[in-house]
Amino acid sequence: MIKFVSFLFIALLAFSSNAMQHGGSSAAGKGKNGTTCTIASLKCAKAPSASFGPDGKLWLAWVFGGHVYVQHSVDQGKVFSPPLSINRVPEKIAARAENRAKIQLDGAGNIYISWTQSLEKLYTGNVRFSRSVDGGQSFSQPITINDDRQEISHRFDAMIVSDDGKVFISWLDKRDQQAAKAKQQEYIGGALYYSYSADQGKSFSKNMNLSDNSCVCCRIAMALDNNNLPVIAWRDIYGNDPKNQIRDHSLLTFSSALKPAKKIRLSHEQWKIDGCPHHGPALDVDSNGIVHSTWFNDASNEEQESEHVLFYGNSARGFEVSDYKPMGFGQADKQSAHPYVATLNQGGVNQTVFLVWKEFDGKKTDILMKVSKDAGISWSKDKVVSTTASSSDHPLLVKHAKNMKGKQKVYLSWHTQAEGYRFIELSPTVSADDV
Amino acid sequence: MRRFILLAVSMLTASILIFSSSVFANSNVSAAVDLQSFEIDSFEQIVNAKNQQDHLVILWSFDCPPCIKELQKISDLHQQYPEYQLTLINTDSVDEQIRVKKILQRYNLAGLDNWGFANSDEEKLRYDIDPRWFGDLPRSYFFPLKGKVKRLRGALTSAELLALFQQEPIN
Repeated sequence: MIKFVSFLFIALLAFSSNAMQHGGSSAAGKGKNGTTCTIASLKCAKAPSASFGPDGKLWLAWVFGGHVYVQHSVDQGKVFSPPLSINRVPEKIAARAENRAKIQLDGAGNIYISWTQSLEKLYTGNVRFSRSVDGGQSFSQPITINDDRQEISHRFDAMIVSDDGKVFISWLDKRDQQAAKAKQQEYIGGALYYSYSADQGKSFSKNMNLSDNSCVCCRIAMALDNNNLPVIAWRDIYGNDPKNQIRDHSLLTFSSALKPAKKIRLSHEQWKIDGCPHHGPALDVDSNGIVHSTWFNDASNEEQESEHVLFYGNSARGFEVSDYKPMGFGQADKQSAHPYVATLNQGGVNQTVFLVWKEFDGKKTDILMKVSKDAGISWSKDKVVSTTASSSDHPLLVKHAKNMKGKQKVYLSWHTQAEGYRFIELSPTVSADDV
Repeated sequence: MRRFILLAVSMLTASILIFSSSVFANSNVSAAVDLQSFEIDSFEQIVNAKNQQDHLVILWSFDCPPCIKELQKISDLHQQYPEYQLTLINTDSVDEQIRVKKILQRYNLAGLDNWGFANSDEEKLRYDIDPRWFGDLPRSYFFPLKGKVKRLRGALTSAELLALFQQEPIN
């Protein structure tokens, strides 16, 4: 009987996944704003991510109706290939606000995808991974990266891939909190976990706890340093008193793929909140090895409202020097939020740093940009680079792959409900007048 | 007498809920929870309609562990002081309403004035409540009969909840 039931279950899944693949559509039900979005398309997509391949092809990953889809474009996002589903069997995928599917390519053009599968219980999930070693013709059966399989939180995955196909994945994990709970001990927040693949995602290392007591609902930022090792920034919890939790950011570098170096504190705004900020940091490393980071912190209190809630800092003098002071930016009264950072080496020692973020003035949402041509010392005025009157995703910055010939470029990747997906080149808009 | 009627009504409601949950599918379980559609201007309407006594508005999401922890404390407060004026606004997406309603039932909060974000235009809805609210949760606004409105970030403890309603009004 059990066999029969499981056969039926598999048949049902096979049917539903087939139905979804043929014609690229699914009965996803109600889409955004109550409108029905039934076609698996970029317009109806949830939370797209973008990445360039070594050949200059742009690849997108996004979520629709229980599937991660990929598409590519040879003309920087004007025209895209038909969407291809990664996971044959549909699953519930976290794709809202701080959650999205991630896409990365290595120097050989292999494609790597990670995402968080939501499970039945509240705030639970698994970190999932799939890859394509045939240039996106087919994708491997998704695997689960977390080696703990309790129905608890293993979520908020972040992934970075080196040109030689090393895959680094980190996420927020509650297995240690669960173990403490079983012993009736207190454990604040979750933990930052990590796994690594040295063989193009064929196999992954044993999961490793990088840091205890992290905040549990903000995206993690990952970038590669100049030794092709990961750098991770995340919202951490400082202070062990449950009623005095400071949710500031931490930064971790690695001395080898399996050996994290010392954690350092990245931000000091002292945001005390027993809650979910829902604002994770962003990070990039320039070609001189300087870490550039941007984050959100609202340390306002009843007496005083903070002038800024967005901050930028870099490691040029070290994050831990006593007079380290990040730059505040954006208009807090316009809900400035979700900043992103990218650096470009435009020749010589000069590093150009791009910051983008969101603001809402009561009617429309703007994406603003600020540029520094001297590695974050002086900055251009704020400039609106895109606008929508509808709801929209967080803005992301995407760089051409390192080994592209010619000048590097940086693009804004942004999904809006009304206009769909936007991919806008930002680098040529920087003129001498702007800085 | 009033208490008795209330008790009888709540027992009847509870038995209907238990009955329906055991017989019908999920959608019917949560049909008993009235989750009103929270749109632009809803906040002002709610606040204006409830200006005859102290009023606490709590914004929450199910994907926020401190929110769930706080729901239990709100439930305790509500059981102990049913006369306190409380409004709950859920910020999860419209297609998660069944889950939201089930949680409200689980924490005995179905009887409160419950609202849910009507669409995914979160920025607009947030801005309409408070331009300086960036989406952190839970978040509460306390409107005392007299004195200044309090903007409260993060989960409140039982003591903090009680203090809001029981402290002397500031003139």
